[in-house]
Amino acid sequence: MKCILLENTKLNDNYYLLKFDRSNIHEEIVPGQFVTVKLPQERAGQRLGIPLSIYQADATSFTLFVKILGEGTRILAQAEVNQELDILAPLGKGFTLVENKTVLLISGGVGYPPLKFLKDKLLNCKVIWIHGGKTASDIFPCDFPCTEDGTTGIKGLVTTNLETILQANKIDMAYSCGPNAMMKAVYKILKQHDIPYEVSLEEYMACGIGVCYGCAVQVVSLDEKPLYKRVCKEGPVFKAEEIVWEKSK
Amino acid sequence: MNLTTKLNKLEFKNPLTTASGTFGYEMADYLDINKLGAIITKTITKERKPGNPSPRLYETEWGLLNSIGLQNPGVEAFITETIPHYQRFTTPLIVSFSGSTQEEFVEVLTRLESVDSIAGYEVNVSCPNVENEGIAFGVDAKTVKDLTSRLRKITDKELIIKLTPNVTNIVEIAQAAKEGGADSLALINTLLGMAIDPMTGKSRINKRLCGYSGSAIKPVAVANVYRVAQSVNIPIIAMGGAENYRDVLEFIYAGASLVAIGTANFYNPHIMEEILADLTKHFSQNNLTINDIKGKVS
Repeated sequence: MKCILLENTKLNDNYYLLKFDRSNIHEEIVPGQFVTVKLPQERAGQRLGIPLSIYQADATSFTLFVKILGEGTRILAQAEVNQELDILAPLGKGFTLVENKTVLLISGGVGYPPLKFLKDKLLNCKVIWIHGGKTASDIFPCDFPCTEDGTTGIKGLVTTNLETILQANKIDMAYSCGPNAMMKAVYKILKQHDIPYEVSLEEYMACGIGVCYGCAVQVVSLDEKPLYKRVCKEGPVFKAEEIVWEKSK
Repeated sequence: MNLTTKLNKLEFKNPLTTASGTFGYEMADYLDINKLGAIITKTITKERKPGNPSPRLYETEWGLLNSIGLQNPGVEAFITETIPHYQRFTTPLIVSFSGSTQEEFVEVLTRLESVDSIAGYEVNVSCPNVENEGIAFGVDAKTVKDLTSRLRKITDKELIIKLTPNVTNIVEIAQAAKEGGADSLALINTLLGMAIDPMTGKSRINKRLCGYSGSAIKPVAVANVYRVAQSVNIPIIAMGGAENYRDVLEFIYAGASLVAIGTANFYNPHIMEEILADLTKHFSQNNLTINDIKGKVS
């Protein structure tokens, strides 16, 4: 679908918010879903759409939160207002929405956007949000910012203060998006507290629509053979207990 | 203007089909599947195949590396769960299947024969992704002939043998398939490929050796189609990097009766309809039929 860029907001040197018109997208967009965006001009080695999670969506627009990670995202971040981009959206399955609960959000780096969207859609929930990054420029509004270099917030990882937060609050449900290693470490802790945990995964993908079977994640199998699910179709959101974490990158 | 074309037993309203593994009914959200000449499914096997660990994909300059490992639910689940999704379409359905032994090919085909809505079969003897499967069958002419003749006895439907380009002499394999009783051939499957991160030395793909597809391989595919078409009198479904109507014309000039779109579906899930519109316009403006240009390279 062609989508017109309405606003391009630079958050800092590495992060941009791209807000698009959604008049060509008729389906409901829910937190945890993602899109693929094609570069305005095809480049060698960059012809597949870039998968990005959704930061915000309403009746007229949706917003993507882009971190510059390479040449593709750099070009995307330079897109101009009124430019039309080829976008497939919304893709995948989103988070389970809860009401009247105490909810813990834990994000890492560019895992921030889907949790922001989720937070906006949780009704009557007390939300506690831990967000971690390498340095201060990776940090966005949340309750407990953490940086690996200590330039802002707590020095350390999202897990550094997790036990303390769990002691002080009775958490009903937790959600994450971020590096697999982070979610694996968080799951280990949340499991001991019996807290239901949903994670949004990232994987290299070609089609984004369930056809190529490229974006495989190993999940718990009921027989002797391994079982892989498609991040783009059965995910990107999974229940943490479904994932075979020791096989995740 | 007439876009109709045929294989040995089947006729099609146009020459556009889908390359196995790059298409599924999920694409109905993005294009009108009934407009296609034919559908070729992702390969199925006797039992469920889990597929390979990730990473399974890597995009190269003008192509794509993949090592999916034939992930599929197995023939029983395919018949009960997947086939019904295809029954809403009028487009002829060609089922791709594979096996790890000749007996498995026989068993899968025997089982598929109970499904009336299947128009024909593409036999995957060439997938380079799976250890001891594909490679072992598709590179040896005698094996291909034996396997084809065993399968020929089971079905009267269109029997298409899909050839691998990773052989010394593809014409010899094509001839063997014909002698075994194949109705038609599909070529080429992916080339053997590999990519390594030069900074870390780590393979880009978990299984290291993988299949290489996309526009970069098109000249190889055209050459193989041309060679087979020149030497063996049998209809050909061509595939390998086609992504616009000009590529489709090129393959028809080389000798193809149908042309499959593969990797390009990943760049743009609407692409087959766009190609079909361009092809229709070209045939109409030039008052062409497939037979006017098929194999007529000059």
